[in-house]
Amino acid sequence: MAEERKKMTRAERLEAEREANLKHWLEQDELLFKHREESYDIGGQPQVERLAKQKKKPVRQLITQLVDPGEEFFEIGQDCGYDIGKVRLYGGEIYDSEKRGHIPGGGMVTGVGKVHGKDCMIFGNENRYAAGTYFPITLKKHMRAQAIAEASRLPCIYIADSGGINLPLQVGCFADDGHFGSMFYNMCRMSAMGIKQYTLSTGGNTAGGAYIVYLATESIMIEKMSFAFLAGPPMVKSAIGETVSPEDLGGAYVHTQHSGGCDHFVRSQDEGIQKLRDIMEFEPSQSLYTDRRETRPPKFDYKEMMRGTPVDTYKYINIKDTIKCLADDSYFHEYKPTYGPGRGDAIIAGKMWMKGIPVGVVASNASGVIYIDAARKATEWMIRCGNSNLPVLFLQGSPGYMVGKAEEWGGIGKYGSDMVRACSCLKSPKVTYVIGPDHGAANYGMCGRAFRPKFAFTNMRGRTTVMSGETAGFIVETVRRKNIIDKGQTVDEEDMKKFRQMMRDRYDAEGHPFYTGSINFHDGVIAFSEARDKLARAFEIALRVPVESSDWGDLKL
Amino acid sequence: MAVEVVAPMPGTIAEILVEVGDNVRTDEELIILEAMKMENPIVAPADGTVKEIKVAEEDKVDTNQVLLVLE
Repeated sequence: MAEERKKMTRAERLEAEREANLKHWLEQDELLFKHREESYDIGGQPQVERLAKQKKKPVRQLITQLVDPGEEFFEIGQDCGYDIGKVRLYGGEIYDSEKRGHIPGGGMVTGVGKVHGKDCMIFGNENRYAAGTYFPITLKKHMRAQAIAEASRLPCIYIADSGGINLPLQVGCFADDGHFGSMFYNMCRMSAMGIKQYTLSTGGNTAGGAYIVYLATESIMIEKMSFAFLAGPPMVKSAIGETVSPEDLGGAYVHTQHSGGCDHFVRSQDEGIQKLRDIMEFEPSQSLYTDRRETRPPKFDYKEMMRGTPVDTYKYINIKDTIKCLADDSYFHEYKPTYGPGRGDAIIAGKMWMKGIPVGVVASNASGVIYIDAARKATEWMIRCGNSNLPVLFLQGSPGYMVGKAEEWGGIGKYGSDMVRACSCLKSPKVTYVIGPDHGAANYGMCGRAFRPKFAFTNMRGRTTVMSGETAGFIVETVRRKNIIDKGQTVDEEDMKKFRQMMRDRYDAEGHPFYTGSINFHDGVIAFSEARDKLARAFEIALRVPVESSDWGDLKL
Repeated sequence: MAVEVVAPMPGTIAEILVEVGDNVRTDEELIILEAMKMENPIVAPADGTVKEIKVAEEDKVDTNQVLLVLE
């Protein structure tokens, strides 16, 4: 390999690498688009035909109708549920044994859309899969969308068509915090905060599910299509011997004329969607709490970002090649660019405009390994961003903090903890985009999910695990070897080799964006071609509320 | 003015990308240093000419060891 490389000049080699990068990321994003296609088209034509017989449209079509023409639906959590039967936590056997091991989209559609120019969080049960029932992953996704709505004070619109909790999986759906009841708890709290909750029922809402209608600020039911009751006709029959049709038990006319549990009677889904739009027209217009200026396109397009992104997640990256493709005018104001040469630039800090929105940047660079100098710079910059109410984009591609005696004595642990503290206490909106290795404490210092970024995204190069597969294989092997030797047994080298490989494969699989997305560890995989638009949109949504000032707590310095 | 380019971390010289007499610009890669199982590019801190290369490929180097001198 080294011999082969020498034959080319360095410039030729870099150019060849850049072209290989481009080809690779084009293929990877193609893979991502195909992956999404599964949730767009879940159930295929037979499901569409089945719905048509009930005069229903697939929920995605209803959402398209609801959102202002020409406005893109900002989908969140689309990667949920894929191959969930093979996922070792929040998934696995419980799904597989019920033959629900693959639920592209996770059983519902969530995302932000503009209706009459106002951003709202839209929830739609996937009526083409398992009667729109809630699986544990569906609830995780629902909670996430409600949390985003609450944080940004977005009105919520529920397009409800659900059989309720998926009964065979009830243990993961019913009783815990974050389960089915939390949907209603959140609706009540949000409405008390003045965040409007609107429901269009387009199908069954049984038992607790009926509350999504009753708890709404205003709700809509459709004649002979929507039903809401505490118990459906079969249960009524068995409990009290009463024979009653669904329409007469809890149809649209029952709740809009008699019980008063619902507020608007319509005759079709189209009418229902129109009614939602009519309601949203009255919602107050929203502000953007930032000093936005006119958008200027970057001088480099996303393909340049692909060229500058190495195929190998663990190969060094020049992150400024990425930043120049995200920033307005490709203009980046760098903080402390000359500080700690070779070490300080493991993190690049600075600010830029993204589609006119001023945004601070904390970005992993080169190998991403964080040295003391880089950690200190990052902490300083987060504090400066917080103090000036500047939102922050974290471009995370760091495998961890630098190890070894020199760094430990110098205080890498202390300075790393400062980063963790700063990113915890930073109250301006944070958006994290994983673009490479995402391991260990670096996940914390660079605003992983636990540090409540307003949005957490990854690209196809992101790998989120406690450490790399390579390192994990080595460590677990060492421990295992010691245990065997301590017991006075001999190490079977062949067995050990297999074990090491198994650990590597496991980590590689579990860190993949599709795996982490399947269990909602991030809000979505963003393709290179979408990065600028989606990240800017994420900040726009996060800036629907005034930026809170930050308090920094007990920093070490 | 001579500028010494030092190793930011301990590691092994994987590749030397320049020769004595080469003119380089700021941020241009000079040497690839393998450390923490990764290839780390050592880049020029300033514009200049390579005056001296003090290491060879596969050399093990320490933090702050001078790798190369620019003029």
